[in-house]
Amino acid sequence: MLEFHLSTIIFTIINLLVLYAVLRKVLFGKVNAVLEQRAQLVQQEIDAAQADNRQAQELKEQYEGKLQDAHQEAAKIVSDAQIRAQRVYEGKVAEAQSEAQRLRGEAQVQIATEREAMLRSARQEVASLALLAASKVAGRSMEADDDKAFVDEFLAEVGEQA
Amino acid sequence: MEAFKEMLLEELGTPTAFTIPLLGGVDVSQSVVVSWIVMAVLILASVCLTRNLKVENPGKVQVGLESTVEFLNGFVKTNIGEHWRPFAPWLGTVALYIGFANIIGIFGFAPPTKDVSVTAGLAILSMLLIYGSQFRYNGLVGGLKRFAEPMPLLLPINLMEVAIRPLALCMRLFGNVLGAFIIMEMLKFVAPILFPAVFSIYFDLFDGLIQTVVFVFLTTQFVGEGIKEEE
Repeated sequence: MLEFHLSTIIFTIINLLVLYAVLRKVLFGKVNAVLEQRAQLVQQEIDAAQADNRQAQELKEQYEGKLQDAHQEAAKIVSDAQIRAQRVYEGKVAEAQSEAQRLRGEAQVQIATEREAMLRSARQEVASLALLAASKVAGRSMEADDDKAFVDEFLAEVGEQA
Repeated sequence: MEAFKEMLLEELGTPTAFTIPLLGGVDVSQSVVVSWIVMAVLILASVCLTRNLKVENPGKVQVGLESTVEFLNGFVKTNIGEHWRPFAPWLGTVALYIGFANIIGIFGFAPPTKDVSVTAGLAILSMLLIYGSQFRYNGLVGGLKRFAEPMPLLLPINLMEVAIRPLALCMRLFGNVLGAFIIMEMLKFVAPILFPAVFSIYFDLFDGLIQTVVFVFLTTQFVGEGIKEEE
């Protein structure tokens, strides 16, 4: 029962070493390789995800910067346009005002001229009426030039008094 | 009763299966032949199970295989420390061999581990592993210094352990398997039908696996003691 057989001991040692050599290759080596590959894969995925994340962050910052630039640009354009519009508006208003002034001046001149003309014609009319009336009173025609001058003088006196 | 005694004694012996006619005849015992069967089964199973392993989307079998190997790796790592890598496959191999050798009684073979020569071979390998790694990873002087740890007073005990550890490993495994084997033989003699099957679950399966764990655990522990850096 308790006999040690050298041959069995040696066979056992050889058996174990052979089994170890085979299993290390066929079983543990393969499984560990797969485990390692998977660990590497996971690490790669994590690294890739982190790199992507970083890149996305950078892009975001870039875009935000660009967006800000664009905002500033737009604000500048708008303010430029406003300034230009203001200038144009002011120019137009000034032009319109001067035009209006001119038109008013012209109108006043015209009115004055017309009034003058009207007054003159009215005065002539009145003078001729007065002459007609006077001739009717005097019973004679007052066609002579000195008569007319007389009436005009008279009328001027009246005009001054009026 | 006498007949039973005869039969039991015959069963307990380590019969020679055949003799290789070399160097004046090398005896190949039955336990070695059964060991070869165990090895063949293990290698065949490994080849079959590790065919087309996939890194992505592993099948159920692969997941089981991977978690077993990972468990082994983790166990060896905790007990041996940073140099665990080369030890895991060896300890796994020993565990598979002893485990299958212990429970092969279920299939009607005599377990090879009931032969004290087989367990002696295993224990010698464990001893070589324990002290080999102690010197491999600490150097000659460092390895020798390890015998004076944790205190120089324990030097004689540590030196005695060089012989005691493998002897204990050898005898524990042998004794347990032999005991279980004797009880199973007696049960088979007393009540050949059905009755032994229930006890077989305990003596062949449970005790066999427990002894496997004990052997591998102690070997790992001893290797770790030899090379682990003190924190």
